[in-house]
Amino acid sequence: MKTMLAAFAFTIAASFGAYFVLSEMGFSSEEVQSAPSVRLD
Amino acid sequence: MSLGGKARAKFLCDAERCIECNACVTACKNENEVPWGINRRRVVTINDGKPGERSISVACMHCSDAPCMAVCPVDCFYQTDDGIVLHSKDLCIGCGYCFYACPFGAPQFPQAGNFGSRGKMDKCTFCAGGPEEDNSQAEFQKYGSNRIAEGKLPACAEQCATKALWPVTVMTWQRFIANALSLVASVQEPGAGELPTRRKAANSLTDRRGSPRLSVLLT
Amino acid sequence: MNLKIIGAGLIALLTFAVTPAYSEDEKQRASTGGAQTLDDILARQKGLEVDESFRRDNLGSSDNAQPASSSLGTLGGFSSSDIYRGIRYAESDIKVSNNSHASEILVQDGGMSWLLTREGNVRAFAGYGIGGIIIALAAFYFTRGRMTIEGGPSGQTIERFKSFERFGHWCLAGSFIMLACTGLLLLFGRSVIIPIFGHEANAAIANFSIWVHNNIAWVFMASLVAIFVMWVAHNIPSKLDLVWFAKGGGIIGNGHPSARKFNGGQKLIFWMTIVLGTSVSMSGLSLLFPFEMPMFAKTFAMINTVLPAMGLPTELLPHEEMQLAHLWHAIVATTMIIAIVAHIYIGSVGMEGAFDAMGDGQVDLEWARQHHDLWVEEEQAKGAPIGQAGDVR
Repeated sequence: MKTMLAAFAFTIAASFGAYFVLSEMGFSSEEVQSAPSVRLD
Repeated sequence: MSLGGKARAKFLCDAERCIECNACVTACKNENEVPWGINRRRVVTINDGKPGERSISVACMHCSDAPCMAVCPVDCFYQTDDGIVLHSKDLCIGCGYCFYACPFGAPQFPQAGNFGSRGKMDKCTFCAGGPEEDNSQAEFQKYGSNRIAEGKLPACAEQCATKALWPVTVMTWQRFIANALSLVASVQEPGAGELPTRRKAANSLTDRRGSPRLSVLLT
Repeated sequence: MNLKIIGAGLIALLTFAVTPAYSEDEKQRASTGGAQTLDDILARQKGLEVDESFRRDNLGSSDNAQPASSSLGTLGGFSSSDIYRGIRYAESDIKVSNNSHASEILVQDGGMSWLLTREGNVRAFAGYGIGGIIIALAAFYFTRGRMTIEGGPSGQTIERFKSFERFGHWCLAGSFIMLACTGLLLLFGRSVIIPIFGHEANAAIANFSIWVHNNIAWVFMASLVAIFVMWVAHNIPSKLDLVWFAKGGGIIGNGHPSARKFNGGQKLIFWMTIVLGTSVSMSGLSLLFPFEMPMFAKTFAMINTVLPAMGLPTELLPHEEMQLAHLWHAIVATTMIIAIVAHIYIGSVGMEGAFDAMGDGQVDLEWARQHHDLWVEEEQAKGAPIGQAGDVR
């Protein structure tokens, strides 16, 4: 039981983690469509 | 405020006239304060640099039976009386299905990756805003300017250097007959804010100065 | 005026006089100058396939360019129709003012057939498939009843799954349930939720669903790898499984066919999960990174080498790749859901003593002897401790 609940908690936490990691990785349209020389906010 | 609801709004682009100046792209971005990475209008050039080069400016075609409207999982699209296809950013979940359905690539997204959402979809509105109140701050922030409500034409076509890009209204037989009947019933001058769709069909599609008439094409 | 008519008539007569030995099709094609023939139009109206090569291959060429000084020189060998066909079949040399994927395509017509398939076949498969398995299992439960331990539980327990095995399984299971539910909410939201709860409610549910679906997917993929690594050695098919299947796994009749750690049915679920899970993950990754991971063109090319008769298209527009990825994802996911619903049934209400395996890892010894006798022997030979039911762990 404990293992199951721990797994569920880990799953939820990891999905938040995935979201934050991925949003930092630079896949916004402005980053993808521009060049390194462009100053984005 | 609208085009009078008498006919459907469409864009026409004359590939013979387009010189790829991108004024339409720039005008749209400026008028609607479109952020980086989102391109409501784009100019596509075929056979660039070779004889027979052609350019076409394309944004949203405001389809009569819009596939984007049909596929949206949250049904956030709607169509005005003038046939302009608009959507609600409040309902939009950024799934990207409208882009897969669109034949012309009109929907644009703030995120290139789909990590939970691609962000709120943004597209050409024919400069007709969105579901917020006409010409309000909220409408401008979300959807850009609402020139149609002010009785003006979309910014892109106004700026076109060669008059290649035309915002037109397209008539269907049903509407033509309805218009004709109402014309017969009440012949009057077009009021303020009404665009001249009630005049008799013009012989030329441009007025004397060469600007596109908000023309009535019989289809 | 009369001379003109006579002249035109003579020319018409002459064309009839000169009849080259072409087929009917070619004659029609020649008479329209390489454009649509009446047959093409009629076929399209009937919704039949039309061989579009006469248009696809007719794109003009700079070889045909007139000298620049001549009146047609500036066309460069491409008429307006040639340009349009180049756009229509995405064969032209395109440059576009923005820098995003798929902007080069001016016209793609896959969208409508994709959305009709999604609304029609995919929803029907999901609705009837998942509804059907639930009804079938309910019918099975209320007729055949629960699988019980013959003679009742012994009260002694043996460890079946260690903590990390259960952790991996529950990560996979938890993420799968969330993925399945959110995926189905997105598929059916517009047709089921909006009529009952309205647009705002559906949008809120859909927002939640898409966030959860796209972010929990990473946990699913990682757990899938973990599960594979942990259990692949125990899931290699063997002759024993054939015997197990021949006896219906004991679910039909009252036999208890032999099995080791995993019986034939479990191995089937394992491999279905791995194979279908990998497939759904691949298409899911393609959907997570739109236009960055096109896989169908290469897959079709591989299939064509094995089964040339399929004639699958090997050049796909970016939109078509995404549409296919979406449909494949939905279909494979639905298949998995149907299988896993049965797995959940047997692991919970369907069989007494089954849940304990994943619940706290300790299963009843009698249950284990009846369902996994060879595994019990192997474990006891290794000296596995026997506990008592109700031991605090």
